[in-house]
Amino acid sequence: MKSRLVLWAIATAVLVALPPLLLAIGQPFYVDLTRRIMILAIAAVSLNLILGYGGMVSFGHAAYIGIGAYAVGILGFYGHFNGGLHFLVAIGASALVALAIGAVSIRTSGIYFIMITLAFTQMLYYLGISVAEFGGDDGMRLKRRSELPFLDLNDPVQFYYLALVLMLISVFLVSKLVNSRFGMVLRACKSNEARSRAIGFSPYPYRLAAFVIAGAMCGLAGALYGNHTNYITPGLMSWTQSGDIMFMVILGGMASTAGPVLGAFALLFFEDLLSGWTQHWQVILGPLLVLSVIFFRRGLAGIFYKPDA
Amino acid sequence: MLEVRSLVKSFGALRATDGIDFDVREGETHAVIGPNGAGKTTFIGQLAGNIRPDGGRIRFAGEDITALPAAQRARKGLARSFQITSIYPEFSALHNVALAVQATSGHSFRFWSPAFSDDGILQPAEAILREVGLGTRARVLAASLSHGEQRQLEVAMALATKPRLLLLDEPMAGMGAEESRRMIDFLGTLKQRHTMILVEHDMDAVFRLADRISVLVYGRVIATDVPERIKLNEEVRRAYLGEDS
Repeated sequence: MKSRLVLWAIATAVLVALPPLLLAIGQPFYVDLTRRIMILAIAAVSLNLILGYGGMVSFGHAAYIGIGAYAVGILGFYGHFNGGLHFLVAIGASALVALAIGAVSIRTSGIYFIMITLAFTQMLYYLGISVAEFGGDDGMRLKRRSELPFLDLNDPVQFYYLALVLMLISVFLVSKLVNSRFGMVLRACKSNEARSRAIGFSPYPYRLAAFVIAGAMCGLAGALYGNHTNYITPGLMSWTQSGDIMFMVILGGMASTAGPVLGAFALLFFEDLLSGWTQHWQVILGPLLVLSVIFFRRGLAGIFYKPDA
Repeated sequence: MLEVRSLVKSFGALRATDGIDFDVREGETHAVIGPNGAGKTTFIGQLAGNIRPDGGRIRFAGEDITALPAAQRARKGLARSFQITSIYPEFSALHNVALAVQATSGHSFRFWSPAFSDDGILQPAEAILREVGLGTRARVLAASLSHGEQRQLEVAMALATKPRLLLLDEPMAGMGAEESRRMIDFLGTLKQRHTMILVEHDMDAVFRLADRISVLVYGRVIATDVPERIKLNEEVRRAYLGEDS
């Protein structure tokens, strides 16, 4: 436990020190990249709650990135730039949509659950394409970024630190959650559903609550991501985006605190590194990912510590 | 305590439960025996709430529970162990029992404080582990326990829910002779304080523990009586004891 905290402290110190260092050596691009990674890491952390700890293989988590981003875009379209309002609507709308999707899909399991969550997200994806007012297929540019007190999101470094703080908070929240009574029920129902029912737990309400929490958290990531790209397209909700987030969780280590963050960093840094070398970077990344799954059964986090009992 | 009336369940053309009447009195240990394929598992599944009967009524502690799902029956005090070991393999023995304690101590929509640091859950869990003889194995991963210990853990989890009626589905299944003997001794002390339904193949265990025995053949209860008279019952001997034991 202690050594984990030390690792977290070191990682945080590095991330805090990164922007001034990168700017000093004239590499502002990497501030942007790291910021993007940290924002998507929030999405991965939220997915880990339901996928890693809850055993719910949601293949539609990008829906909430889209909802969060469009919340910022659409409010801006109608002239509302209050960041607090943006984030609140992003989180609230994502929670509501997660409630609706979860209420239906959690009644199923296994392959049906995967397909239903995918289907709902595809519906939202095509909804995004079909609404011409908000750019349709082409997407929409933000008129302005969200306006926050004391913070200017147009300043790459300030935005970077906001993403870092929110990422750390989301990691902390999920780690508290999965060790609470609520979290124990969630994990117990993943471990052995029949046993859980036999001692008196009904899995459904707990799973649904976790699904909503994860959706809301990912909605926040979406609002940040919209501000990050400054340009919102339905592509944010595409199934490949859902797959990317899922892969971050699996690569980093399901049901581990640091896993999704490690996964996000590993996947996106590699993607960037390889795409700098060759146009056909996916040909290299694919096999690397397959190998990593084969050799790191518990993900990258498994290198650092064993899973909790 | 438990009252079953004309319970029926069919799978296709097979009547797995064919009009069962069955009673359990407060404080008694009621064994259910029968040859393989007699419908014991289906019957137990309906008592526990995992299988929905096609017809008939189940009353528990004066309340009709026929339509209640398993989790709600568990909360009303109907605890079960499974024929095939069913535990949380990736949790420690202590946390397995702690989860069962948690399940009976109010709702679990508590999102913040750590579940297993409060003594309200861990202390009772430890006491129950000691009671079933797993006190020294509390920190061991449930998956690493021996088969016999896992069977004990199952019983511990059932006990942890503070049951009014224990439903033990072949608690001795797969145990060695020595382990079985210890389990029988333990169930002997348990029956002083608990009402139990015991489904078991081990006739030694059944005749030592049961106050009454019901014999299930082809989905029907052909006899319910005290052990001495069951031994002498002609129909039972023909259907069961004489054939394969």
